[in-house]
Amino acid sequence: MDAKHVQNTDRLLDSLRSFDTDESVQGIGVFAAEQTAPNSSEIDPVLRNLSTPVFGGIFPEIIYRGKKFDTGAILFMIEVTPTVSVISGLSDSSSDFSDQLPGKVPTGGTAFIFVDAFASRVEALISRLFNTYGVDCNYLGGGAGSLSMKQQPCLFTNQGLVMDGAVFATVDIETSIGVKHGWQKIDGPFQVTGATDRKIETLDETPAFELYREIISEDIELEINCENFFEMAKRYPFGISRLDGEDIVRDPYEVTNDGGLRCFGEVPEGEFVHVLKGDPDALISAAKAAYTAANIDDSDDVFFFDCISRVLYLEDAFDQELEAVGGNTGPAIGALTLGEIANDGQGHLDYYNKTAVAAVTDDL
Amino acid sequence: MSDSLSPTEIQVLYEISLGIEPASNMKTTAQTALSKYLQKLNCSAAAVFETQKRQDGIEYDLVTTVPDASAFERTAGDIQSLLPDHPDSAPDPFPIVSEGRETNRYVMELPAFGVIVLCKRGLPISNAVLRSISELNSKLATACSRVRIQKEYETQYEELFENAPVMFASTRAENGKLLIEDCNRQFVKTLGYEPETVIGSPISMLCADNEDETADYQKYEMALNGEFETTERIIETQDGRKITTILTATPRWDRGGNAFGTHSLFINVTELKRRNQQLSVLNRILRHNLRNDLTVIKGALDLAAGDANERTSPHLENANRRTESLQSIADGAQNVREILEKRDHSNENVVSMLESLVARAEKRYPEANIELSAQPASIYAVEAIKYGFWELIENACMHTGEEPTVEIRVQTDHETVIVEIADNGPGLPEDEVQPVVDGKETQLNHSSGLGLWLAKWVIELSGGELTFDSNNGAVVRARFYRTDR
Repeated sequence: MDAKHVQNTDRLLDSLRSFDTDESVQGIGVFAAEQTAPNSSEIDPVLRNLSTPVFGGIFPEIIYRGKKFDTGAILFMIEVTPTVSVISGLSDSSSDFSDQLPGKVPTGGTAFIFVDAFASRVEALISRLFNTYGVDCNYLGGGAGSLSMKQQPCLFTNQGLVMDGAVFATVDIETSIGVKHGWQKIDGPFQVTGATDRKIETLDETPAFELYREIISEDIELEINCENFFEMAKRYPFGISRLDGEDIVRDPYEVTNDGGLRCFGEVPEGEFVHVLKGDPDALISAAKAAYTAANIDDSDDVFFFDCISRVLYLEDAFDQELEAVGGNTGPAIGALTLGEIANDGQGHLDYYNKTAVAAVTDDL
Repeated sequence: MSDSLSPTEIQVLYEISLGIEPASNMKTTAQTALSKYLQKLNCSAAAVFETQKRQDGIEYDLVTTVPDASAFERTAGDIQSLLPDHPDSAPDPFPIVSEGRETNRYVMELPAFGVIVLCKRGLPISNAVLRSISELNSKLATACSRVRIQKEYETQYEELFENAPVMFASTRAENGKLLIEDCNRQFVKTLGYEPETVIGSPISMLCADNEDETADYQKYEMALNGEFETTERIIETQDGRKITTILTATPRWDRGGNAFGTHSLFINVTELKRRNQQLSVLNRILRHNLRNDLTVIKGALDLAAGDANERTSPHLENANRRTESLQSIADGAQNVREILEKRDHSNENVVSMLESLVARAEKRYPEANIELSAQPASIYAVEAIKYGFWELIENACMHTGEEPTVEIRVQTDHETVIVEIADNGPGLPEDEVQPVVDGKETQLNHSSGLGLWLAKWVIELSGGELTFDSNNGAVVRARFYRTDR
């Protein structure tokens, strides 16, 4: 895979212009770290002038050659022309997005999907993608945006930096994908007796935070309050069960005024959740298992999308997670995302939290 | 592979069931459910087919797929070849499991509706889940069937709405205006507008009686409170003609129980109103002009009779008889009109009413032998019902020879009351009875014909039915629903 890491915006703009003039480059992918990411006024003129399709996003951190970076940007070249669709209005409740999607995807190919993680209808778009294309292709991507939790332009497109949207790029190349998280159930199931979109209001008819606090305080032997909630919650996400697939993890990141818990991703009312707990070894093993599941051809060209909250939880041990993915050199490129999107070509397409997604290809 | 469900499997099956509910249409119902099946069982494709049993076999009509049809086909392959093509070809064939190199396919019955197809890659669906999922399939079948039945009702309603011989419009309230949201064929045909002209326009555009939108909206609010149900409304056609209608408006409710508009039914009574006017004029002529002139003629004839000779006397007597007959008809018609105006309904004790009428008849016709045998009964009738019965009793007394015998019987059963008036006369003249039975107008020869019409009208206004039998004397029967059960 032909990719490069640049340190600042000037280098990024130069590289984009340079790739655009290279006849062998049919598509450009860009992952930028939020700390040094360009703003719209800097990069939009360049993006709009590109004759080569471009897609990507701004993420809390990025991964290049087995290491994570909180600055700079990664560009990767694609020698097969991608079909790039920009979906706007990702919080628009009246849209089903079908008119913004391509008529077909390359059968057996790969679809990169990056979304504004703070748009309110990410799941609706993912559902529309699966309902339109099914398992015709493998899907790979995640949520872009800032750890400041503020919505801002975060998607690279030929229209410029885009907010409240998604970029969907399909390429006629094969990938194999592994999806694992490694979180273990410690309590539950609890029925979601009240929920609105991404907010769990009540569990078993009890305010969600009250029940959640009780469970993890007992496990961690420390009183949980609103102040230390985020620090503790990163270790205890929720899991939504399904058969023959990884539980879908939901990451609570905020206590609401009414005692509810806001998560990255929807939690359907009526369904059940378990409280999960992290263990560094289990998480790292899961990342390795994701890579092993994907690496059926023993290739080193590895995309790796991992949840930023795993970094926050694993801290220094996260280097071991990177070492576990991609052989000797670690994953070639990737991003630490706000939610992950993938299927393994077998079953349903879902929006995950706190999950490791590895994709292996040797055709880029 | 375990034969019993694990707790997680039980939980997941329950969660799938949450996605199975009747929706606005069958496709959405099936799609919502299939999405849940796919997500929770981690399947790659699914479909619902509706079964159509024909004489020569079974056909499977596709309701929906997830993903869309072409992606489904690429994943599922040829599904039709898996399906039984005749009811007898494979008794109880479900579930059909077809294991493929990449994809396993499961065809399961949706009882009394069709089949569901699930395609799964990776691990197969366990036998325990496959067995237990039949409960969910039954729920999905019920949901789809309910939507189908509801759709059939809606289609029938729409056909009725479209083809009704009355004008019908649905309105929606917006910003203090009542906008026409839908209307039927008769509505646009009568008014002469194109549908696209009226739909979306305020219903006040049709008003010819200078009602402004505010007044119209106030009436709408009255309709919501149940205070306004029926009123006369003059509306104007596109070419400026005025049409008199009877408007009935009822509220439209959304699923939350909030009123958001009206169903408005307009009955065109322009022609009826015109005929009523004509009838009123003719009545006035009958009441005043004709009767006054007849009185003058009668007076002149009486004077002329004093000077008559042998040659002119028979002619004057004949003219006098004809004049009296005409006076009698005119008086009878006036009586009928006045009686028919008394339309208030109340509970009437049949026995006491008939006893009173019999007493009156015995006084007026002392030569008549009148017998009343009655079981207690009450009916819900117009005030004028007694005039109808009087006409029948008097008719029996008058036209039955010198010693009339009249029998009046009141018989009851659980629901009905039959009043029978029989005499020993020659029976009612066919040319008077038949027009009344048929409800067709005919030439009126004398006022007794009017009496039969009066009896028929007041009995029918009271919800009753009048029949005649002249095979053995004259027997007249009036049947009513009784109110004292």
